[in-house]
Amino acid sequence: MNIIETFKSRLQNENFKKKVIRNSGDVAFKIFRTVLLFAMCFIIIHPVLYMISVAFRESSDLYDPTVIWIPKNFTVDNLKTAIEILNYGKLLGNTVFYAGISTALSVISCALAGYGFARFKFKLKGILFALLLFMIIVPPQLVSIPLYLQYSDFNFFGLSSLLKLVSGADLTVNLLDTPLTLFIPAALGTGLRSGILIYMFQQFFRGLPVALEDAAYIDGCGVISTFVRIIIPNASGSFLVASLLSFVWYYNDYFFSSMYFSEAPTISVALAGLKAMLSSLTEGNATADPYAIIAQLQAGCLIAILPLVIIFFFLQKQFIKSVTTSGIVG
Amino acid sequence: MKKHRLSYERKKSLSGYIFLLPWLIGLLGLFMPNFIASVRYSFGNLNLVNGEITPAGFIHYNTAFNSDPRFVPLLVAQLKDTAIIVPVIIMFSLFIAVLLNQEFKGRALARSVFFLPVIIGSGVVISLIQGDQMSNEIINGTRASGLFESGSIFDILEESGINSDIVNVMIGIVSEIFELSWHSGLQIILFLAALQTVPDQLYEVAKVEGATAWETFFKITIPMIMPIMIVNIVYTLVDSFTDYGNSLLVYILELGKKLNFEYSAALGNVYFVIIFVVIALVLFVVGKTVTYTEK
Repeated sequence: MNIIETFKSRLQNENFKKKVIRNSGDVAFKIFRTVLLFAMCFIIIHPVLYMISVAFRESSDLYDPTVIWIPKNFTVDNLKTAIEILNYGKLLGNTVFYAGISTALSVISCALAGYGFARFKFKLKGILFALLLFMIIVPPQLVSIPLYLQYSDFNFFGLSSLLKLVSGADLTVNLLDTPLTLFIPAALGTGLRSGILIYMFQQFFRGLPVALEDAAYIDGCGVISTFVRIIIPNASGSFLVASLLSFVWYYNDYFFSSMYFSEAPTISVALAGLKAMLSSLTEGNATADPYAIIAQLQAGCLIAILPLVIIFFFLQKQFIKSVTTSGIVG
Repeated sequence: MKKHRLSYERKKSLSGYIFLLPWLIGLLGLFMPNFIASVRYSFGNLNLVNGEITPAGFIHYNTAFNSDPRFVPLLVAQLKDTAIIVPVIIMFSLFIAVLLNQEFKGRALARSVFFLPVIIGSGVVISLIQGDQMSNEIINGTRASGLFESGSIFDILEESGINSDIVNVMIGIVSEIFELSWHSGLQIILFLAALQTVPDQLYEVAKVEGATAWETFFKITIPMIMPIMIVNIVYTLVDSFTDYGNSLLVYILELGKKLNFEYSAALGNVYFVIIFVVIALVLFVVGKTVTYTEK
């Protein structure tokens, strides 16, 4: 009672009143922020939790309405089935190999192009930059069919017809079903994703102080060795971000990997076909449980994203730090 | 003296081309020829056996707009969706980025959760997860994700005389909060990075001058992060137009798979020109408001 009395009397004081109002506003905002962020995090995490929960269920638990999150009959059979059908061991190796090489190639070519756009003045810069934007917005679906024809009869951008004039031998190669269909565009920085990476790199490099390079030039460093010795070490954070994004994009890519390969080359392509595979296996088998597929599919998803989540887990600290401190933007 | 300077400039401009070389080869060798080829397909009939194209004029374009029952409605629906989803995603991700930029306990954890969609949020996995949750609910007769349901509040809104179109838009946003949060990952990262680069002195000056939080936000934060805002708007537009589940693209792709390349290419071109116009308009309108601090 006493406290309330004193509080009331202190409320007469204008300054104190203002302070109380401001503080209660702050507290309300903090509560609002916590609730909102918690809810949003929950929405993002929900499907992942659901995936984990279902992947370890026996199919009887799928029918059981009392099972909400924690399975009653814990099993790893779903994982085993998914691993077997996805041909997980082999495809994971493939995927990591393809995505790793493509990432390395595309980060190099995009960093070079981004640096070229960020630091040099040349005649066609405006037009080329417009073409870069153009490349970002042309849907990949539009050029995929002519690209398919080009790959099926690849002539090294006309080089082989030149050679043919000299030697008479036809030198076109069929690139379909080889990982070169992924590596060549990566090495040449072509496509939507590469375009975005170039744009990001340009912004990264514009943020670096020009004085660093000028000092290197004065000391007699050439442009290329300046790039290798000065720029790359100073922009290592941005390289980490770009590599991680690029690796994730290649790892998850469905469109290009499915377009130029007759057999599923990577996990995400195999995953897209997993449902059809599973249902064709149980077809004609009257005793098979049709709903077991759900658990097996979730198990497939789980093992497909697991490597990425593990990588992210280890790199997360550096990733967030380099995103937020080195400054993606100039 | 003057001569020396010129040659230095010249050297620098040449080095620009050297750095762009791989990308230029890709542009001229891979991208442009195929883009031109797809434009040519759309104006002709392709013979699949020998790869020859017989000119057919605007036939495919005519079909698209005058006799195809699906193309125009799909296109209109897609444009409507995009017009709603892009501003919503931009505002949402800016809002989340501002929250994640403040100091509070558990910030690191919250940040990594919001980055999670960037890591796993690609077409295949996410569409499988979503599709599956639905089917499971049907089997069980339960609503595992009933948390995304919020019918009655919208009835109240409608009863109270708010235009039903607006209410429908709101229903759409709320019921797609899942999609929304899974499509904003990269935007949140970019905004967060942009927010870090706003110099503290500006905020100090604003505080000294007695600006309110709102004024500070709209007059300092927003203009300072405008360049990244443009990147985000363009990325969101492209992402929305080329999304895995986009029904118009699915339709165009299906036509391509049925070996109807010419028509598929024509539709693709129409679609692309529309995207181009939309993005050019947005860049023009938003670009006018940008001021770059350096140079």
